[in-house]
Amino acid sequence: MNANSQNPIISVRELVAKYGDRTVLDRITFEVNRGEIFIILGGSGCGKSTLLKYMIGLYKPAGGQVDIDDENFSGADEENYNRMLRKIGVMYQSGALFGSMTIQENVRLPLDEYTSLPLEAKNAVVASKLALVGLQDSAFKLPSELSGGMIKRAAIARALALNPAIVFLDEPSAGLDPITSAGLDSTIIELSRNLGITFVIVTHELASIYALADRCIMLDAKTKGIIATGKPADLRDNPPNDLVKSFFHRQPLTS
Amino acid sequence: MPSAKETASQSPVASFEILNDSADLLELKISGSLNAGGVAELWTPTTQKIAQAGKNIRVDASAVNLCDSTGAVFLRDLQRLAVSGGHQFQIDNLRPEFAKTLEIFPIDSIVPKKNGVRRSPNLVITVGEATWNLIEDLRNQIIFLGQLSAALYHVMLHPRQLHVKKILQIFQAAAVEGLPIVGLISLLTGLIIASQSVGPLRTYGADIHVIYLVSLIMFRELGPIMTAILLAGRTGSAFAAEIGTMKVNEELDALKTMGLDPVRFLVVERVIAGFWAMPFLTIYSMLLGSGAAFIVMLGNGYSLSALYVELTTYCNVTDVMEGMLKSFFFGVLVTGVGCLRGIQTRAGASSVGISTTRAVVSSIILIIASDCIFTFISTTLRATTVSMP
Repeated sequence: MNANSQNPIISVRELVAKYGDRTVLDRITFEVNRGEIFIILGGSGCGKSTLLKYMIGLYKPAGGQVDIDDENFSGADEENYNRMLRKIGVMYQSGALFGSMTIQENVRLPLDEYTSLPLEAKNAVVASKLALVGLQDSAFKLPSELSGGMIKRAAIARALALNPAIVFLDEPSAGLDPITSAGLDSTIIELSRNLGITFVIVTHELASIYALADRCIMLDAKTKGIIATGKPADLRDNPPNDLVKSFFHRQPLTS
Repeated sequence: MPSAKETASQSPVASFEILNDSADLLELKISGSLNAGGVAELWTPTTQKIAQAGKNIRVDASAVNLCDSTGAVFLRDLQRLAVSGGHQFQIDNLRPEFAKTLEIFPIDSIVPKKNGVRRSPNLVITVGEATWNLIEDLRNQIIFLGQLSAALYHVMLHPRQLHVKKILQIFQAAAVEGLPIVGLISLLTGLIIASQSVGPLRTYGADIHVIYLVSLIMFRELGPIMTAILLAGRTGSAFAAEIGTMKVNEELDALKTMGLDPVRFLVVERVIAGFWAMPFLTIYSMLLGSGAAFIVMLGNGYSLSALYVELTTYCNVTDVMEGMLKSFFFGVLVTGVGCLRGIQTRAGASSVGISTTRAVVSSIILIIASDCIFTFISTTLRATTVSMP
């Protein structure tokens, strides 16, 4: 395991997330260690995807801050924000591939924008990233010609294009069959172990959580905060409250 | 402020030097950072050197202080070049952590596989496909017309299934909210035609006939045509985008699986609203276009009564009715085409854009084509009426 608890790569401190006047997350604090697979979990509507969007800088927090590599990411000016964006890659829930571009063009887009590599070098890099996710044969297909699992893998390849230190994945296994989902989980583990990439994953798929997580936090819509932190197996065996117990044991909440 | 691309190229660079260039061996020493910035500088000169060398290659990587996955791909490409020429390739002194990265990217992983590459079709195929698509489109339009007729017949038999409130909402969006743009365009068009006609007609002492000219053209042709084109741009395109997005989101499939006919559920109300919106807007367009001619002629010193007499002498209700008849037809045409293009949307966001464009373009072509047919019929009928004893 690559995780280094002495060396956090992401620090979320006292983060307050709001939609208008409605507070979604209230003073959230946690750290993500370098090289670990960190999972944000919780029931529907608890603010998992919202937290992810604040962590990747799409929204400015109403309070608190997000640091990446000890630099203030959420409060960075445009120049620093754009520089720091190169440290992260993001895979959105739907894949968010551009429908008019082939898979090769989709993955090459960040390289076109941010590097001066010659075209053949970029194509070689794209091929290597597609090979990492098992999509080398699909480089010239359009997203509409791929299955849901392939789209997600192509989106991961695009997120990896610039060799980011951190990759954020929003619901990577949502809508996938168990076999495809397990294949995707294996890809994520291999990328983390082989390339030392830190993964921050939003999911509520129990199978993926057990397979992937070095550590996780669980959010709660009622308290608008973190109600559990730790390894998934520990939370399952020693749940700190009924909500965590219901979640990990797939039981309806009785009270 | 330097761009991200410039910043990348200014980051710590890499370099190479030739240590030994003997008859059967080229020895290179690569130094610095093999990241995107370093590789960008090294890629072309080193690959050219190795391709031209045609001999065994040895790379000394002892001075490489960074090698990410882009660097690994670069080293593998050097290997690929040497090996594909039948020569040996060796990397020495690469730090273990970088060697591990290199292992993740085997040589065959960096070669783009060409299967599925789209080839540009030749002229014959392009023309053939375009012709076939045209025939297919015509067939689809006929099928759609049949489906729409059946759906309209169905709601005539079951009027309670019509959502009157929805029709009124669409009518408001299409007609009432369209009044400002239709009014502005009609007023300006009337002003322009009247202003441009008054001079030439004055040469013959016939400038009073500007009222006749502008009113006739607004009643019979421009009123319905301009309004229909504006309706196509405002409402037909909106229908195509709305239904197209529903198609992309599988909402049309959901309707079908619930046993609801998408044409009856989505198209009928829009077409009925369009059927009434077009004449409403056309009357307004006729009034403002003709009114603009009055303004110009009043400005040229003619009295209101003289202009009124001119108008009522030469224009009659038949002219207005001809325009109104067209407007009903155009209303159905524009809204129907907008809905059809929406239903024909394929997958992806770009398809919605394509459907919207097709809705407007098809509508305009069909408006002009059908107006020619209307004009031919009305001209023939007028000639027949005049020649009858």
